[in-house]
Amino acid sequence: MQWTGHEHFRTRLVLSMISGKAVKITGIRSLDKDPGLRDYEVSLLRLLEKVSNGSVIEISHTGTAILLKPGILTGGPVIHDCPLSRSVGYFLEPIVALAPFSKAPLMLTLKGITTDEKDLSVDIIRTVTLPHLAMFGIEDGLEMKIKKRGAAPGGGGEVQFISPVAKSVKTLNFVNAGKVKRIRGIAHAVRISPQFSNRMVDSSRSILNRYIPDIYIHSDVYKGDDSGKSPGYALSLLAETTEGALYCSEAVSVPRPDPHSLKERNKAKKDRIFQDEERDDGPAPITPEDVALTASRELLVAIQKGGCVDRKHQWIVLLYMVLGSEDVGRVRMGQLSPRSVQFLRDLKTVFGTSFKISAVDDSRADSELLLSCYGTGFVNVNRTIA
Amino acid sequence: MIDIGKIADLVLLVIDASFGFEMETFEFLNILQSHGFPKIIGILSHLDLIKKTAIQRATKKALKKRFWTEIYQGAKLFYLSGVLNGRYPDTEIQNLTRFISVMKFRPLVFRNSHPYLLADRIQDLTPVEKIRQQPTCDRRVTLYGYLRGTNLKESTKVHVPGAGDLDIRSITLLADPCPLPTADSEKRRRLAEKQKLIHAPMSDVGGILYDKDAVYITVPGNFTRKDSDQAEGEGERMVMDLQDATTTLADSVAKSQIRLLGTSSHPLVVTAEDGEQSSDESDSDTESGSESEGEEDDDAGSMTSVSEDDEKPRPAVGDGTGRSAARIPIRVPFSDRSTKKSQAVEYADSDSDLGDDLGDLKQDDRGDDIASEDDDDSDEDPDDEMGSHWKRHMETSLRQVASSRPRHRDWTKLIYSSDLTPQQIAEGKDLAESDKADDMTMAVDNDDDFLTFKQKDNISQTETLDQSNEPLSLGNGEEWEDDDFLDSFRDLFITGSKGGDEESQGGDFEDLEANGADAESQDEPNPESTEEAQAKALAKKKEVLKKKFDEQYDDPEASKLSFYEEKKEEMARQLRLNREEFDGIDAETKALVEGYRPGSYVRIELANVPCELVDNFDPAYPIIVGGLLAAEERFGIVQVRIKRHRWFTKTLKTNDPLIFSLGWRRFQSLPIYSLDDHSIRMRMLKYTPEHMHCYATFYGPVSVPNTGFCCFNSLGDSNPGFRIAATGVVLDIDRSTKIVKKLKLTGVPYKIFKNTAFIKDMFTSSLEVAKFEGANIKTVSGIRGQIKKAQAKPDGAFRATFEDKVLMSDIVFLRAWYSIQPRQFYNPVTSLLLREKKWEGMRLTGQVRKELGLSAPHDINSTYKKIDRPSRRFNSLKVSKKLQKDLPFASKPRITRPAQGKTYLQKRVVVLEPEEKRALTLLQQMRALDKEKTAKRKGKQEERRSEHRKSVAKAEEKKGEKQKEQRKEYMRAAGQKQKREAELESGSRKRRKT
Repeated sequence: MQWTGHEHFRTRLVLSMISGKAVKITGIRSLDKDPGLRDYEVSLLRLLEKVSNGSVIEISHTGTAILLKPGILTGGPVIHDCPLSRSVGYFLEPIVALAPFSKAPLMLTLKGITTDEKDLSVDIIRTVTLPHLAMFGIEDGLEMKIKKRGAAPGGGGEVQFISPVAKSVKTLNFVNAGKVKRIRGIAHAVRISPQFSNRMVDSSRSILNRYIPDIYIHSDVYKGDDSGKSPGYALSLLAETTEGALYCSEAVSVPRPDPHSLKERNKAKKDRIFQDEERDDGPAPITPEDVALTASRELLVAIQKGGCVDRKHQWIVLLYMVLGSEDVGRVRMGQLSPRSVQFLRDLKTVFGTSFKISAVDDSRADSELLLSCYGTGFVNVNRTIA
Repeated sequence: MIDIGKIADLVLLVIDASFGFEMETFEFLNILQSHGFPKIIGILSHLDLIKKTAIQRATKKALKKRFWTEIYQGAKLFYLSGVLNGRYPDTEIQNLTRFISVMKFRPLVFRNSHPYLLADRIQDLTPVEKIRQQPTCDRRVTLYGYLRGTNLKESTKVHVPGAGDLDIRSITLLADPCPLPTADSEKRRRLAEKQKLIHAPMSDVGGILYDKDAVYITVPGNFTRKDSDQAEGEGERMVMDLQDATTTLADSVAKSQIRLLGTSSHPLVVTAEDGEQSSDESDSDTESGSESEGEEDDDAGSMTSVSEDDEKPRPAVGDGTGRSAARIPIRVPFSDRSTKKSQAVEYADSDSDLGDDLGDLKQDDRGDDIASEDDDDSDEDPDDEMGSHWKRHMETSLRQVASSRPRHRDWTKLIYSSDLTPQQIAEGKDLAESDKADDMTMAVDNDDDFLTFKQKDNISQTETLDQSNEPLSLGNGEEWEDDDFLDSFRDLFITGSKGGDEESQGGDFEDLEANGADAESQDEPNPESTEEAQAKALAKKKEVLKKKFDEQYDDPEASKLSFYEEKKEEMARQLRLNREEFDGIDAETKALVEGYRPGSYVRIELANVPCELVDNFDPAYPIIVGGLLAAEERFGIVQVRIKRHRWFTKTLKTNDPLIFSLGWRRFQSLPIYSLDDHSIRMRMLKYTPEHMHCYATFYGPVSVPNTGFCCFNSLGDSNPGFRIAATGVVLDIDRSTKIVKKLKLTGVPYKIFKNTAFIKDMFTSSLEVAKFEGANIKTVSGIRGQIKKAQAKPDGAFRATFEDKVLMSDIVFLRAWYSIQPRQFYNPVTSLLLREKKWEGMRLTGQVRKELGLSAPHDINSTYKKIDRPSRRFNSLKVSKKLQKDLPFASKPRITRPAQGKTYLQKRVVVLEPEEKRALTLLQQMRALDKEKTAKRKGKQEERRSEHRKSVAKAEEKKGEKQKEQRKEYMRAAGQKQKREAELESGSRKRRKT
């Protein structure tokens, strides 16, 4: 298998690890000023090497091409320090998808930033991603503990992810999303007044109470050593429907950049065109009310987009559907994200499985989609018996 | 034998009763056992060779008993009484077939997870010229057969046992040569001679071979025209018919009279009204079709049967000549639309082949086209959709590309067969929906050049990060102030259906700008209709609830299903879903999505097949195509649980080649045997243990854990014994193993202090020592110690401490474990590629030695010699006189010399008094007398005893004889009874027969 470009790096590595086919990714930022793999990507490759046995990873001199010959997922206790350029979620997302197919239960401890605006926060992974796996019959022994929180840019958080070993994946048949019956959330503020999380809770309630009274937003407090190295606060929300579909959203405070990196960024800004300017302009602090507002509105948008699967988790559901038993699995999804579209293509190249995709309502352009596929009957070959 | 055991559903085990069981029978049964046990029916033949009925009966009984112990008690065993007129009795065969037809097959895990096919026909498709130029070139081969197991996809890799792993080039679904009985055919009670089908693959009936798209006619010798009425083979007749044709194809097409049905009154006319392209298409179709039709019909000119494709007749139907009205419902793919519409769709499709530059455009446009057709049919109907109009339409639609009309998007096509970027696909709807949004300044506005838009997009995407959270999609904040907009979400909550009674809650948002109203709010139906619908829905819901309540109230147990029933229902539901989900779509897409279903007759084209498979093809050796799971294509280190077969006479040695039959594959590998040593380590074994399972680890193709396998030392039939060496099951797959073997390092002390000693000759460098610092060591005499630190001087020497002082003569040893990895040796058994099918792999170590006349390597140090242990002599301790004198008394050496003279007891002499002397002699005499007496008595006793023994023996003998007589009597009676019973039985059977 061969791909080009640095995009969809993680999903491609996941596909390679699960299918056991070697993957070659070329042209990784080859036209960039700063070509090659980023530190977090290298760190991810390291992590993959740690959770497997016999993996061969070759990185070219320039770092613009890699070759991964996957070994066997072994699991067991693994500790990994994530670089501060990406949050723990970046690393956890592919690992969550891989872990059930390892030889022994994986006990992974990741250290670094637990919440940032680019990746899924650990709260979302715990409350939304893991239940998505439960839809496929992987639930016993699947847990995640947030031992310490660490906000950007300092990090210092720690999470422990424990995954069971699955024999095979159940076929999913989930076409009725139902209606939202409750909203849950976690607001946290570290190295900052705990009042901040209360403010977020209140603000979010003011919006969401309009729709449903069953709202419970937990104000999560971490003190002292457990609260990481930098101040920050965030709100993650999830809506659950009567049928068990989950939608989530999240908003994070703008991290206070350390002066050193700010300087560097500004220097870099001169010779590069950035898409969103505001992130580079240094501190533009955001009030907890605004954070809550963004999160709540995002949640409403996510609910509106519909489907039985959260938009950010489409790919993991698609993957597990393909890995299901040799039966037809069906799922209803909102509009596909670009990531999912590419993932569907990648799935086809790797497993040869294509989905039947039809709009639920032909008359509307943004109609929900009905995806069905024939599972490949994947079994966890790595699993040891007796 | 091995391969067939892997695919047989039912084994008819024919046993020559006159000979009894053969070794091969047991071997085959064991192969079956290790690869999943299918159903077995035993058949005893050659019973007529046993003349005596009693012997025949006994043989039957004995064979049945043995058969039952092998399979299970009560396994079906048939008896074929003998051959009459060269065939077995019809009734017996009929009985057997009846049994076969009602046989229930058990699901076997391996077969239910792998697709496979037993090829009933092989065809070499390699161009003849290529073979002529290079006879050993890789071949392109097609295999035909019924698909079994699970669905086979084109992307799966296959293994042909005996030939190796191969890639599928294509799969074609063919009509079932022996179709299942239909309702119609079931009505007939008898199979008429006409309905009897012959499926004779690999046999050219009348010199003709059919392939998917070609017919091969073999004409023996050189072909000359003879009299036409002379009966030749079918093939020859075909050739002659071809020669008979007086008109060219083009002519015949021009004046062809295609009748859609045999009864059609008007032939079809090819007119020039059609677009150029479609007429071309039909032309080429008829050309390609002519060959296949020629073989079916005698006159090549008329071509009555049109069974080629759906595409061919379409233009003709469009003309409206003939009986098109009657035909429409038959044309399945287009039955739901009018023919005009379908044409429009086809245009769009054919356009998609034009080029990739218009890639973006064509999708949108096509979608638009269909949608517009759906919307305003009357608009399009008057003109007859010619190319020019369509192009005009395309331009207009290009201009309208950004219009907000809802469009139908074919997601499957967009994703799988367009080269749009994911961003473009995902944004596609944004284009239409929110083009008012200011951030979407698409270059579509300057509509002429679509290419610029695409390029621009390409550049912008290079900076996107691989992140899960998408950038915020909230748009401008204004609409979020709008109450109507906020209310549009309400329906998505369980509280929403109640409508507006909760509106008072969200009072903070007073800005009422109506421009942000979305499609969402438009969707809300009118209040009147909703009320009605609600009432209806409510009634329906109530009914369901009432039913449920009734059910539960009346019989709470009835509604609960047992686990088994629940599972069964679930499986049935899933099966139904599997069938229904892809029912509507065409066969090609279906095959793409779910693969080819088991039970279908397919033609598999394999690429790069070794030429020997074709050259050395022998129909007596079946070709099996086994589909591999994704994991099975890989290689790794496989750990298995193995047990030497109890009938296999030799023991198996580590690292001796062994032939495995595992999954579809047969291969030779070098296993290392091991046992779990107290759950601490895996310890290598040199040989397999007797009567015990052990582990074996080898390098080879990965198989799913729990797969059974069997092993052979050699596959040749030269050795008469039982060939299955071992059986077992796969436990684990990995990339490395942790098997260790014992390693003892020895050294000798060269300097000894009190508890410290310096040891040399254990290691060769200080680096080695450093690795073993802190390791436990031991002397032969059992003094334990520890390695401390390397010494500088003699290389590899080190300082060690012991719990006691060691001797210079002690040997110090270090017990260690040396890890070993299996050798990466994998040698597939390519028996099908050989002319004689006699495959020989790597020889066993013993065989090699035997053939080379070598003996086993012999280490002189390992031989057992007579141990000579001279007793140690210690010199006496000498302390100089001077020193002795200075020592304190307690420390003075106490040297005891050997005694010089005799002791008192030794020295003294005993002299008896005469009185005493006499007494003593008297005593002695009395003792002698007594001794004599007892000896005499004993002798007499012995005599008596021997006499008694004799009499007893006599009595015993008499008794035994009596018993023998009794036993004889009893056995005679029992035998007679049995005989009577047997006779009775046979008599009744005879009666039943008549």
